[in-house]
Amino acid sequence: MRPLPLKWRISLLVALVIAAVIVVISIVAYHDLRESLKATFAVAAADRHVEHEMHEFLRTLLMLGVGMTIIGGGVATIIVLWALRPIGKTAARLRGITHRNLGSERLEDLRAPSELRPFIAALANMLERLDRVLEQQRQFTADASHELRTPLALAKSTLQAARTRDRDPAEYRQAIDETLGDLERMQRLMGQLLVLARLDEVNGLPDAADVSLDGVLQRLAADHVAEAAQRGSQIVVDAARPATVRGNEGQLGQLFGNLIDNAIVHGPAGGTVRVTMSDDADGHLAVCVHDAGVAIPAESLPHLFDRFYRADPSRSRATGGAGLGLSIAREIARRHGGDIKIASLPDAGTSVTVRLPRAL
Amino acid sequence: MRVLIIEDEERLARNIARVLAEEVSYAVDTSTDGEDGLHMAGSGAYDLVILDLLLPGLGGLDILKALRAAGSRTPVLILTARDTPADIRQGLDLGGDDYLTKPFDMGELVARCRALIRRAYDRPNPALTVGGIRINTAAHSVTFKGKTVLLGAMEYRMLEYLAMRAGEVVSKADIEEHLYDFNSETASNVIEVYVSLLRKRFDPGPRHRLIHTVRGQGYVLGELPA
Repeated sequence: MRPLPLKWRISLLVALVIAAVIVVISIVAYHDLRESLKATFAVAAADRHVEHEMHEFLRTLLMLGVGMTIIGGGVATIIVLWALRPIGKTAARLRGITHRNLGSERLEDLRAPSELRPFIAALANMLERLDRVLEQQRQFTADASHELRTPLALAKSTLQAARTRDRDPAEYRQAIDETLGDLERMQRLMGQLLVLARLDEVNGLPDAADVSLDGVLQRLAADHVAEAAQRGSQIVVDAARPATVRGNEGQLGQLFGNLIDNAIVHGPAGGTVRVTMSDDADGHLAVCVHDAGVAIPAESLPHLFDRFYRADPSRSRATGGAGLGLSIAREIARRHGGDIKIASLPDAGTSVTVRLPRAL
Repeated sequence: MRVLIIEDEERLARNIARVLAEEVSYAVDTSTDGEDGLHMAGSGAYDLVILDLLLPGLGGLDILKALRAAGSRTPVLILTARDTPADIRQGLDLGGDDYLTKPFDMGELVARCRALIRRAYDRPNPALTVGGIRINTAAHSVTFKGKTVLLGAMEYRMLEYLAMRAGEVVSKADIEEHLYDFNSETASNVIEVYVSLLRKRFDPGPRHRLIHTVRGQGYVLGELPA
């Protein structure tokens, strides 16, 4: 059964209260009148007269009572309807909100009694949060499209420029190589976008299992040896003791793979990338990936985990990164109940530290 | 004609520059940095600026604003990956003359460049006719008295520029500015050399009726100004 509307509940309540009060008053008044009448006409013959007077009085009382109850109930309904008007107005305003005007609707101009203020404030707050999320989504889409269009424009212009007339084989080769590089950049970006989309889609950890973290790190180091060697660098892993975390092995591999990639690319050529694992407070493990590269400017540090953020656009372009690696890393660390921090100082290089809870 | 490309993707700038130089024989300079780009664009030597919006240093829209505030009349073609109607409106309303989104077709870009330059010189007709010379600026072909004439790239560049400004006195400084990019080395008499080459083809004889020299001022193609 549907609950009775508020206006009927309140009017019914008011009518009941009025009726009860009138009944009590009537009983008291009836007794008092009867006593006083009896005292006035202290003759037995007057009894019939008294009875008649009392009947008249009772009828008047009854009519008055019914009338007041109805009027009281009616007035209560009107008051309730009037008091609830701001809810109707708010609803009308909410109906007019779409994803387009979400940000501009603050509901501040709605006049409402103080009891309804928290309700409207909570609504306004929710709208604001939704707008922020939508704005982030818009920004993300705009950034993603820019990041995809740029290599696409490069590839297309390279091929079209090569195609305008007959050229040497060497020139064709160069055009093909450059285009392949653009395609690789797009492929990497699409892979990252896919990872982010999957992370956003699922809450929690799919296929969680006990993962040997030291094993993951050793394997990643081995996988990256060739990449490091291209820059004359080496990778040193200090994770001899066995350590287990609860999580998704693929995601953890992605997390630390991104960090090691960054360390190789941003560290000095011929440098050493150090991966160390140690115990941390509260039953956590701390994995630190360190490179001796140029310090990241302090003003960039808070933004490094933002999607598509690049501390130095021109340098990252040369290395092909789109600014998604660290945001993916942070997302994965959080999914595993951990966190990620980055510290960068001149002379000390850059260290990224990931804390993860040990498996129980 | 001389074009400035302000674009931070060096390879893209290089590809465009190559096509513009090869296909329409424009002199092309490139700048990969906003500040530097604004400085170059403000020099007035360019017939067209191709402007990217996301640049290190100064952003493309700021360059555009500064250029227009300084009274520059150079046509600006905005070439960017930003493609929302709001972006396009903003770009055009700030003084951009055309807007093309990446990725783009090279042929379309070249055609748009030609159209903007035609408009800037108030020559809406892509075929220029001066005396018996007919220049098809779209096809890059020249006929003289009905016969096709094959011109070298620099000769064509000079003829097209003089024809765009037909009937006006064009100073040697103007010619030098609009036909040569930063990297080309121009010998002091190179302009005289090309003028005499053009005269040999189109205006032979002891008395020049088509390519006039105005002593101390420059050259005029076509009718001398009154």
